Amino acid sequence: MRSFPYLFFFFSCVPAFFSFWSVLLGMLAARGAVAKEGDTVLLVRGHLNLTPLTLRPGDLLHCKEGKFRHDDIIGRPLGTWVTGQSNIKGDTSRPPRLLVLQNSADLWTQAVPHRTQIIYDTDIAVIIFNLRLSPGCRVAEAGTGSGSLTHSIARTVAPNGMVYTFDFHKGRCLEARQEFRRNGLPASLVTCNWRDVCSKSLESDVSAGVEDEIGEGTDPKHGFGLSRHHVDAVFLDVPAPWLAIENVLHILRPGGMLCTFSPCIEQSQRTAQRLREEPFEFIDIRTVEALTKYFKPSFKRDREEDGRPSRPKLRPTLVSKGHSAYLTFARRRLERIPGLDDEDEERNDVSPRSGEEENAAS
Amino acid sequence: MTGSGGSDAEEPRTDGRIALGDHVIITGGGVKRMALVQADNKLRLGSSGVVQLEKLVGLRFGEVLRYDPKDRVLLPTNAYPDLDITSLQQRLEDARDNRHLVDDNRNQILSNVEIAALRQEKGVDAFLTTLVQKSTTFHTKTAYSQEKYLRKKKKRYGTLYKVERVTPDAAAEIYLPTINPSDVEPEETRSMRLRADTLALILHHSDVHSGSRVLVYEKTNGHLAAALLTRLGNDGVIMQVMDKVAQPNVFLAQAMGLTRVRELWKAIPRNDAFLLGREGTEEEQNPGDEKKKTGTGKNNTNKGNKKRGNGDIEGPSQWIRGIDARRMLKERPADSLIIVNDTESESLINELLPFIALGGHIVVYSQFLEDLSGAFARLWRECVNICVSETWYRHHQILPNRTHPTVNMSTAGGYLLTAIKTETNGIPRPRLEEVSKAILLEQAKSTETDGKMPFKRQREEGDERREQE
Repeated sequence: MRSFPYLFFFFSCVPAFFSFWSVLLGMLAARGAVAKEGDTVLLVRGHLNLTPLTLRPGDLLHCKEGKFRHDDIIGRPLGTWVTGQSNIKGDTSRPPRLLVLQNSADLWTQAVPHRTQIIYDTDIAVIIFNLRLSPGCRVAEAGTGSGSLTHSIARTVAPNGMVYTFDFHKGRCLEARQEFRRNGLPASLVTCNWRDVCSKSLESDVSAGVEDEIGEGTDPKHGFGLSRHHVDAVFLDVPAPWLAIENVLHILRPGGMLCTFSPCIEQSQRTAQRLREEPFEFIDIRTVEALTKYFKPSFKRDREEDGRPSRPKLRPTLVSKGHSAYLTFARRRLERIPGLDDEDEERNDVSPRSGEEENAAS
Repeated sequence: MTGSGGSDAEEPRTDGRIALGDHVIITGGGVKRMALVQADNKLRLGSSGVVQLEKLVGLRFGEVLRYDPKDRVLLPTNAYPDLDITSLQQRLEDARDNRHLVDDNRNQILSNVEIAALRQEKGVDAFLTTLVQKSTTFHTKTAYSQEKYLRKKKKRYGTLYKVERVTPDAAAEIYLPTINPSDVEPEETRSMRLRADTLALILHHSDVHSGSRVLVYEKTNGHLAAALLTRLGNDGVIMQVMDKVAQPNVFLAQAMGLTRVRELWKAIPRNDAFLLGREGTEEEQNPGDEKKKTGTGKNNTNKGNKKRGNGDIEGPSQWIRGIDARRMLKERPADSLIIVNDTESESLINELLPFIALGGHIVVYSQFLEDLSGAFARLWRECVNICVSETWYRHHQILPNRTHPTVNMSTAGGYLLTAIKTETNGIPRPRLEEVSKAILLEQAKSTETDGKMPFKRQREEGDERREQE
């Protein structure tokens, strides 16, 4: 008798999971998927050393470890070892093996081909967390770069959210588009357009969610090309983010979050100064820095120890990142309430004007 | 799905309005508090006074408010609430310094009684102007020092506040502050506190997104589960393994306004039925029944705090029987395993690792580095990309000519171990020397010393052949 409700729960869940499973592919699929033709999988070449591979029937991967046929990977569960042939002719030793992993956003950060300097895991985690992203959010990102952060944002806002990413370099934009499609991120989730978001937008609003045809022009379009108050969050990784604030004010909804990523402190200063300009559209302006220190295991045995140690000691690696960037976060305040008496409003600009008057008087 | 036409037609989304029964976060005057908007509920706003929270109903989440001390209410305002606007933009050639400044406690002419009286009759700006006029040394200070003086007074006597919805980042900042960290240990509780960036990294490295199936063991009193629920959206499931005396705490998840908490967040008893598949009828049903009754009692006691009232009691139970959970996970393993524990986690990993799919993400958090070395030893044969790390999270003050990291930073980030589960390496478990050799070989692979590779590989393969014989 008691088992009936649980059984009902169990049955009611299976169709939902199954239908979801068939909807989203690529890096958003459930873990343990079977490799298919066209998938982008990750090969483990060593510790934190991953390379992407797009599976094509009949192809042969020829690498330092040996020769591996794509057909030996297709149809098998990901996360397993695949056996290949040695590069040495007549080699009778054990055949080489390679571990094939399923793609995911955080692993892609390690495997991504670099077209630019990329944003790494710690900064990505802090950015997504402080931008308050969740499924269904709409995000504008510039510039796309190598797409390291774009994949993580897309993972977080899927399946009903939207990532609008922009790059002012035509070649990077085209490559990023192809990469998103290969990784299973459809154009209904991520659109990549060739635009300069720091230039004043001269055109009227463009339809959102469309990937423009990139023509033979030599210059990108201006602005974000999104309608008013369209996105929940904006992320800027551009050399002069303060120049984009005017465009951000158009597309970012009241209450939405903004983040800028600047390696140099002078960039952060100019950005913060711009965010604080009248009419004071941004509040909660703060700048953080997040750095990661890694530890590695040491299996050395102490001289006095008789038995074998059950666990390794952990010591810091010799090198860690000393700096990546300053992250400046801000929240766009809500629209002003009409009718409130502004003259009596308390100004929170801590001005020493009174002191100056006192000084002049004395 | 978002089509181009649809997205144009969609109205811009807002944060909504505050309703009775909502939780809000109020920030201002150096205070950041979470409060329940309810009749007869009051909140003390630092030294400003007490506010009636019921009056917040109808306001917008994200609003800027001014405190009215006469009526003890918070009213909307268009003023700028923060203290970072400065008029000192250029470099100042200021000849003033503090070589003649003496601290004799008589620089402020007004007495405490007079100051208290003035606060009642004057507005904040007028009050501060009076303080400045009655200070004998204000005009001798540098412009930066004057601004700092005013900012400090404004922070203490200011009446501007911000009200926001409860979000994971704001809740984490309340729970373990990073902007103004405190070295005072929180009062003795059994729950662990996760810093904001640590929580962010757990969410990132566990690859949680809509549709994920997450197996969780945590002792954060529901904070981690609430953050995971915000990433699941409307699809996916959190399966939390509970110790014998533990109960899931849904307070924060409901304070964030999340719906379907009990559908997306399931509790599994950590019993033999779940871990070993042993189904004893008596043993199986009794713990479940007891937990269910306790849960029901808890629902009754917290009835007033729930927006949906009786809906929670009538909804699906949050508990799954161990044998059912085991069957579910055997048929479809979990995508992620997250362990947040303040003791060793090896036994937990032994129990829960078989329920994780190939390619699944594993995150183990501990406040102590020593606890993670055991987890490392347990995982390194069945996982790749095993990383142990800690994070350095630092805030900066960005003001013209006064830019620097904040003086105090939180160093309570703890340690994270992340890994990816893979097929077990087919080589039999080697002895200690071979373990060291394998590690060295792994390190050699990571570097580019090609010259050494054939020799090392040859030796290892020879050893393997010998083992097979």
